Amino acid sequence: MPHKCARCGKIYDDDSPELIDGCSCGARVFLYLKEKPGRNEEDTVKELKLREMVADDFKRLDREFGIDLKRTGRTIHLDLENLQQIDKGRYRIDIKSLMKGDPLIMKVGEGVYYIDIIDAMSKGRKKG
Amino acid sequence: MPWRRLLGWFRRVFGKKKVIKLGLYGPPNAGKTTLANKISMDWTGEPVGRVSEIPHETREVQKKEQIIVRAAGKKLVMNLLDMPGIATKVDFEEFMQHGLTKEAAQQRAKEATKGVIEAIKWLERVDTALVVMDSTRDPYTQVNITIIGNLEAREIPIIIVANKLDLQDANPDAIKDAFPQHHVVEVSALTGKFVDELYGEIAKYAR
Repeated sequence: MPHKCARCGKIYDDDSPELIDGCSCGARVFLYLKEKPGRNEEDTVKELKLREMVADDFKRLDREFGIDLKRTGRTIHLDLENLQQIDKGRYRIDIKSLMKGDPLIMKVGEGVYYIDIIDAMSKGRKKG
Repeated sequence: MPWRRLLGWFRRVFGKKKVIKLGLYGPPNAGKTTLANKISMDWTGEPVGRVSEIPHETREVQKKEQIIVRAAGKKLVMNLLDMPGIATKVDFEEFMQHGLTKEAAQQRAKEATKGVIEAIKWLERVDTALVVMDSTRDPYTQVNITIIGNLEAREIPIIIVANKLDLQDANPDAIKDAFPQHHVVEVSALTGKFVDELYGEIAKYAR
């Protein structure tokens, strides 16, 4: 069954090497739909395109991979944000993105982001 | 960037004596502030910041300016910058395990997160970095690898400090194996063991 990249939405066939190596956008988490009698591949792709990661999916990822994350100190990032407030007093920081010089982006809800434009612009000025 | 190196050479040859901004980087509880205090006490007689067993005690960049270090036949003028510990995750429950109330722990988490971002922003301004690691912990972490990789990309001289040599399960060789391309100095910031060797390395490699 086709898979969809959880970050950029690109669709891949079942046997695509990207499912193992990671999507061209760098993400390694994919959405797929279980096979259902009477639903062909075209319908699956259509349905998959509409499907997005929801809070429950993130909770499931945290539940299943949270222990590994604690051990390795790695983080899961499927979105634009490099600072994530999981809960009051709980944060995840994408240090790789921040060190690269990306502006500080915080997601405060589905489809709502805060971008530190002053910081982003001062970085641009310094580079220029 | 090669121009940065060239500019540094011109400054050294023709410019006035440069004040080296020495940044202490590393994960929380690696002993950065203990080391900063040791360096500062040795050369100025004053400490830099407070030390605690609770992670993220340093949540703002602590500075000690105009430290004059004499080692390996050289005289260096440094501004010491003790950075907040860099982490990928900050969780208030960790602080509650050290006896903090929920509210105090949540506030500390907020300040610690801000501190991580501050430390990263300061990367643009440091001249030389001491990357402090706890010798009793596995060095192959995302934090250590990202810090080292980023400093390398910026061509900032790196000295790795394998700290906490005073602890029985210290294994500084694991750090040497993990980062063979860098100078690793084994020290105990707490007891001062081999800190003189570190001054020698700073005199040799800081610019």
